[in-house]
Amino acid sequence: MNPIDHLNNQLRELARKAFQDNGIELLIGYQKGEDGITKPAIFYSFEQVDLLIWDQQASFNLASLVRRFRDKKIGMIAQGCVSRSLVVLLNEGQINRNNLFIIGFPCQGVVDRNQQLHSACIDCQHPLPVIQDCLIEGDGIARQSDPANDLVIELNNQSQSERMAFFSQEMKKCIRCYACRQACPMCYCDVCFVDINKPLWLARTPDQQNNSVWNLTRMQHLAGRCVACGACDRACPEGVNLMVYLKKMNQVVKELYGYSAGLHLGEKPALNAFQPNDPDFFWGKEGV
Amino acid sequence: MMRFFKLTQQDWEKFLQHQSTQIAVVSMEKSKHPFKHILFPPHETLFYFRKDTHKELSEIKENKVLYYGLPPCDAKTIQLLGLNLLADPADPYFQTIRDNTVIISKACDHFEPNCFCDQIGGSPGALNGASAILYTVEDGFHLLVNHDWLSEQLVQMNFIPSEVENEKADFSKGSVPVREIKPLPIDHLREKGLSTISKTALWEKVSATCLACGICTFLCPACYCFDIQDISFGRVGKRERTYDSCLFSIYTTEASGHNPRPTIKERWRQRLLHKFTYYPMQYGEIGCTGCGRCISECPSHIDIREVIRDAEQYCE
Amino acid sequence: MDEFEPKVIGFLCNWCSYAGADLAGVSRFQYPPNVRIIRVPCSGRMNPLFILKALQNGADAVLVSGCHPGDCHYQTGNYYTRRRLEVFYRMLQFAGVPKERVTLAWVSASEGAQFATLIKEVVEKVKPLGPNQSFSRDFSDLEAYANESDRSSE
Repeated sequence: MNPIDHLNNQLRELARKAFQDNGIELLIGYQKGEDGITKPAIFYSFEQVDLLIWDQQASFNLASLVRRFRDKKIGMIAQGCVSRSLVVLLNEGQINRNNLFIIGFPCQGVVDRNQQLHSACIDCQHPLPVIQDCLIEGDGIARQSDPANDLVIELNNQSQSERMAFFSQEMKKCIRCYACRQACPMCYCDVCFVDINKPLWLARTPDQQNNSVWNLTRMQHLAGRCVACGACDRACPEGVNLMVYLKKMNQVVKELYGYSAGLHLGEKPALNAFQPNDPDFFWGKEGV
Repeated sequence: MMRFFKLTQQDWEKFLQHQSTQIAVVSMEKSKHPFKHILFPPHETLFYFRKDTHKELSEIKENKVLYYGLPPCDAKTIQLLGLNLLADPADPYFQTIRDNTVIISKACDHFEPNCFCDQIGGSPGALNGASAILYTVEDGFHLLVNHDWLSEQLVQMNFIPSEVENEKADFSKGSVPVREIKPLPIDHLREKGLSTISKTALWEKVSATCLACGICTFLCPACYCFDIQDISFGRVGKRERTYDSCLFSIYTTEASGHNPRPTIKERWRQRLLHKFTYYPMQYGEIGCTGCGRCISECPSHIDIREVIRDAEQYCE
Repeated sequence: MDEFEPKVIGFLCNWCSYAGADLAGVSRFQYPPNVRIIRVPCSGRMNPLFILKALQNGADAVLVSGCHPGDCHYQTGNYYTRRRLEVFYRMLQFAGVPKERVTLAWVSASEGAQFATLIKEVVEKVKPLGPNQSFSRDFSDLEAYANESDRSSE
């Protein structure tokens, strides 16, 4: 039996047990659609679990579905990045730990639209779940990032005008459908800043300048909260390269404050906390 | 009455060559981007204004453009959008673009996994309101033309027309694919869709994994919802039109803050019933071309075909 | 030909930096007139969107200045600023905004001379870059319309 089928059997067994013994009211997972595409699905009963699967086409981050069912007892399958998203949501008080039953499993990465391993997964540092109620043992995908092929490093080494040219080009592609926001588990504001009109932060027009405000601000609102799962990048219908900016964002937070989101329960997100001796690069700081 | 021309490959190329010396000629093929983005752009400036006058945008495209190679589902866009945007009073921007657009669509030769035009009463070889449709046959093409200006152009190049009654006339349509597939139960929705409004269980199920991202509406050839915003700059300003989506949470939010469609299930209900119940009620046709973009581009891969079948079960 | 004079928008915290700027004025320290000051109650009030809006609407440079860490009138406001704006500043740079266009500073209420120096430095480093075109919104069509309709109404 191939490893994915074996994993799916184990997932289904644990899911059935979760319905019977652990009292979940619904299970969040994936199933195969009519045309063979793996898509997110909600299972409401023991019998429906027969349709539960996971494979490398499962590009959707299930944690984005958790808040809408937060008054029920939810079971879900979760690998590294999804479990980290859950930790961030727990740390931000968006859901109760008692309402979650997490079936953890090791992840082999998911693919993008061209069936290549997605750029978030190439760099994955946490394929195994960081939080779970029961666990399927196994090795996750090994980190395969190649510094020679790393766009973040390349952009870091470029000049300011080259970076601006790349960014402008990406921003021209954006159509402001907000799929990135909707696909992200951490973008859960009831009223997003783009929907505010007093004051109007940015116009609806999907031109390069307004798109830049949208994307830069969304990234800033995710600083210290993003787990680089890549769901936004995969959801984008226009192929805007969001991963390179989110990876850089995560690197900056790590470098400055030694913090990575979603690894420990009970932590405050990096920008909600401070140390009196944080690194300081401002003009006029003491001693300069 | 329509006209029907037999053309060889060379005839066709000669025709395109000749046209491109006079007007813009653009080759299109089925892609993720719908033809709607050209006819009804994602953003356009309607006009400029200052405090006491206004000025019409003088750049509305008045130049004729010929698009060829579109699949019939894309050609249907012009028909479907026209139902709403050309109803009195007609939208002058859309009207101008439409009046200056000539479409020669091309009958498809295969079905993609998410195509379902034939399941909703259409066909990959239908004229669908295009100016003309090209059928590939053994020794060239059969071109069915339903457009006076285009007919004239062809006749002037000495191509000989035959008169036919309509597109169902008996002439070879080449390799238009036909498949054994069950049609979708849209007739039930057409007649009895309103009876599903109170069926919360249906709409909860259907929208359980929907992200309300709006991609389906942005890419749908039948969706026309737009938002208007004024951009001001001192004493002057401009009025811009951009796409809006009934799936966005603020779409029906009222000034008081009350929202009659507060969750995704109400908005999904509206979307489905608009396309398959309200459109027929108002215009007699369903608001769907069967192109399948809403399925292939949806991040949750929600399949509208499954939704239609589910909804039918709940119709009374 | 007129030398380019950059428009600098300065967000100064009420208790330290704004008072420091005031002291610079009272002490007659000379500094370039390019800065337009917006007073905020604390540098912690700074929303990154303020910086973006300023750049988008024609500012050539943005300055944010607050109390020195440890001296915030509200105890901890500037600690949050230090994290939030440092991260944002680095992301702006990565997106290609020239680093000379955004300056983050600490100036206390007694540092009038330092404030004057700060403004001089900001203006000096932005002048060679010229006007902010690549990161500002394109209002050229509206400007053209305004000029045209002004002319036709004469």
